[in-house]
Amino acid sequence: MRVVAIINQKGGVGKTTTSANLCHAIAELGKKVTVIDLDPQGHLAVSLGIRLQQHGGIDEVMRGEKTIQQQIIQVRDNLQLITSGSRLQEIEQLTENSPHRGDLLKNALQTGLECQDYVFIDCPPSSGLLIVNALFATDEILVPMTSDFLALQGLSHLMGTVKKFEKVLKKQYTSWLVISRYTPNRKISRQVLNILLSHFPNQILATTIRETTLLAECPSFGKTILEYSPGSQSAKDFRKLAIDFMEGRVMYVKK
Amino acid sequence: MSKNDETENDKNNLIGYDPLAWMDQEVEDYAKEEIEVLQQSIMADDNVLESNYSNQSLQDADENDDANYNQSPVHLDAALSIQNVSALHEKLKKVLTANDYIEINLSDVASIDTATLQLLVALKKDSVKLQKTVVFNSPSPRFIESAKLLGLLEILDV
Ligand SMILES: Nc1ncnc2c1ncn2[C@@H]1O[C@H](COP(=O)(O)OP(=O)(O)O)[C@@H](O)[C@H]1O
Ligand SMILES: [Mg+2]
Repeated sequence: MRVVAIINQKGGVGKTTTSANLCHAIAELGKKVTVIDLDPQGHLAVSLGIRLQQHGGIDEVMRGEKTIQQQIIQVRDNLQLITSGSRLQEIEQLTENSPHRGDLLKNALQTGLECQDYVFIDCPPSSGLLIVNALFATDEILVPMTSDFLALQGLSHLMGTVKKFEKVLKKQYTSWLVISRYTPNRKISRQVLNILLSHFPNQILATTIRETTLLAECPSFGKTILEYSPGSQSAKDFRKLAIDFMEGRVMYVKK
Repeated sequence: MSKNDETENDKNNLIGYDPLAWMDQEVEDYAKEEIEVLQQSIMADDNVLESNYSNQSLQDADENDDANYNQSPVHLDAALSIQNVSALHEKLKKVLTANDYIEINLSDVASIDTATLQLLVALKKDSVKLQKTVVFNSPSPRFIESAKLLGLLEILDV
């Protein structure tokens, strides 16, 4: 089982879009996938068509009130969702009656998901306690990136955090980047990509996800791109990305 | 994607500074070279790093008895993939702790994936920080091919 955090403290880079569509694409290939919405905003659940949030989620598991099995929602064939739940924000904000710990998620994932091939965690756009919990729980991270300059700045900050964790936890993350909102017709996009390639020569997944209107539309219908427009370029991009991720296919520089 | 775009790179650089520069000074400056970024639109399958992900079961690392566990040289298995990265990482960590000079034999490597290559790059960098030496020996043609494709030959020093 691979447990993967989809992480980037910058908002709007495509974490949730990648979570929903990549997970569905991997599930369609016959693998068993669980995706956890670790963002108190609950956008992942909405993107997958789950709007009723009375259902508790990962918050209750992290607080030790429920087990993972009790929170699972089967959202598609081979794909199950664990929602954020309404009290996840309390864990992030360190309110009086919430446990202040970094290992809550790791412990929550110990049992109940053994038969899954992949567990993905859709992280919030922050760098608080929820991110600490995500980095504790995983050995593998996937970083969605846009192709603009400030994204590089953000990535620098994130990699600094990751390196600190590697030191403290004495582990080595396997990390992947995905260009999740690529705008090929802008020149700076290519240059950002080149800089990324120079620092991550074996870590950028081969398929770039382009910026398209279809991808912006599908969350409001609670559908993934594979359902909303199965024949579209974006659907093809995500199907390819699924294989890239499963097999570690990356972009490289041709000399 | 036109080649001209790239050759004009220097003149029309749209990026004033590289915030990631601190991460790795050892990495070559690709900006000065002719670059072709392979994207799905132009990427034929044989251009992709194919790692022959064989599903044959691998010898379990635990088969090694503990006495041999921390010793150099380390022989890497034929098929190296993400499924075994954590086990290999645990093993290499122990070896790195126990030795100042570590030899890694790559002669049997018939397929290696990018996750494992990440691990070897990290090991090499860690060893430099710890003022230890990691040497990669007898790389198989497959290993060379994969490392070259990803521009890792120099970092790994094979
Ligand atoms: N490749 C894309 N093309 C078009 N719109 C996108 C793309 N990726 C993300 N979006 C849109 O951008 C917004 C932010 O994306 P989201 O995945 O929610 O980011 P994050 O989870 O990182 O905050 C959403 O409205 C989403 O629909
Ligand atoms: Mg999100």
